[in-house]
Amino acid sequence: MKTVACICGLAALAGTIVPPALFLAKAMPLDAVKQVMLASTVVWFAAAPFWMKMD
Amino acid sequence: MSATAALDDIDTTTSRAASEYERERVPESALKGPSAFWGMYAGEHTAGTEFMIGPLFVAWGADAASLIFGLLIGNLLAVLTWRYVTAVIACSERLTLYYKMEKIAGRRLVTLYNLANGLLFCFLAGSMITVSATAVGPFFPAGTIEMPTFESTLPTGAAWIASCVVIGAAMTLVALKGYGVVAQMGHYAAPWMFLVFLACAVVTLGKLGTTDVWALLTPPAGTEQKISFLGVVCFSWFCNAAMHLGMADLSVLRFAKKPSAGWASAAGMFLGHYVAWICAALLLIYWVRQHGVDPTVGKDPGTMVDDAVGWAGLVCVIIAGWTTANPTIYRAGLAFQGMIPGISRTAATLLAGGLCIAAGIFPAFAMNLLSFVGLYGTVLAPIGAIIVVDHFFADRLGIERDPAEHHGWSFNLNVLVAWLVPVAMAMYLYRAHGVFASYLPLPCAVACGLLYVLLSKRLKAAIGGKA
Repeated sequence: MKTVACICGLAALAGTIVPPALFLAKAMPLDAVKQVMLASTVVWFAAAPFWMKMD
Repeated sequence: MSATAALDDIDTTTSRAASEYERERVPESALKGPSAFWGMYAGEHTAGTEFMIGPLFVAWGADAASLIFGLLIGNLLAVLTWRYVTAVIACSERLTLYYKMEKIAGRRLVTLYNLANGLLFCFLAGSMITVSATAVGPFFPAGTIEMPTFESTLPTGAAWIASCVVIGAAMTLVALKGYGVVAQMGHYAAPWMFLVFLACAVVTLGKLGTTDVWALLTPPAGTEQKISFLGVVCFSWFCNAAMHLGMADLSVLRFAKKPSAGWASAAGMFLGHYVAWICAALLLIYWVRQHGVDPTVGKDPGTMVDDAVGWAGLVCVIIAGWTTANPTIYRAGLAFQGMIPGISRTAATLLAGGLCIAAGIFPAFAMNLLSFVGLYGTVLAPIGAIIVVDHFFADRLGIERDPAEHHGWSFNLNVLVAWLVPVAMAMYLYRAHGVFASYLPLPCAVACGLLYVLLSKRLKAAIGGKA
């Protein structure tokens, strides 16, 4: 479970920063950037509790 | 900027807190390695208020050199203070600020310190409510909620007040349950929040069609520079003066195996107080250049972030404010509980939450953050200077260590005088001569330390004379 959460979490973090970088490179429209970032936000908060459980 | 760690001390006023080893040295078995501190500092110093501070630098006409190198130097000085002052004392004494102060100043005086601490934290949490409330506006049709600007001091209307009350009430209700859930939320949110800050800047650069950050940060010719290079250095050094110079982070770093754990503060300073501030500054620069917004009037964080990265950014603004304001309200409640005999924790937290909401409704606090955090450090940092004197210099100067503990005092008048006289002078300089607040914590702390030495020597001579 933790491995899956870790992969999803990393993908969500990538989904938070890669689209803006693509927008900067003029390779992605801003609306799509916003949509991917929102989806990544949802995935992040679903995955992080399983991955980053506090001691 | 965050107050969560510092507030740990307030817990001890009521002995109901979850923190451990409040009145004893932290044992070897409870010590933690450096990794425990890196994540904590990174998370705690990426807060909602960062969305205000970056744009405020732009409004104050800070130039590129100040923002790139001034912040670098100031944050480095803050990290060095944490590493070579706070962490050294923390790993040697292994006590909370509260308990160490009790040994020096006496229990009743520490209670007074906690009152000052609690009130200042209410205003800080109020600023976070203000920032979070700006993220509510974009969810409604344009014009439904009139957003405050840097010039706003009073509430902008009924809808604004309702936003602040709803957000503040939600924070207070969660604070009533304790802050464990929110602390976890903050822990989970930290890496994502930092990337959202970064994303805002990257999108802004894309919109402006340049990656020349230096040119973007350079204000147009003729811009009035209200903050100098030195001002930016001092601001970034002392915006958390209460935590490092003021020793509030003894509560955290007493658990460190070695003083080198103090380097962990670099994660908070260079991610939250360097990268995030510059990212937030770029947001306003975009609005100034592309939409003709007057930088001195500014634009609310919610609108800017929504424009850059959409709802993910709005969620970030709300969470960044919430995760830091919530424990602040909780701890401020504990401080008030320590002040008012017989009051329940629920009532005390509601009182603190009410004060925070009242402060949040008035944008004056958030819009004056550059001054407020300087004053916050000015009031609280001198207490740390007394601990520095007691720890490093007391034996060499021939003054007594932990005098209140040895004599059974509940109120050490020397500490009160040494604390209040420099603070009163600093407040006079700020009010009457307009001295930038971030210039005051260091001289105030040094004056407090010197005054404490003089008064302690005088007292020792008097006691010796009587003997």
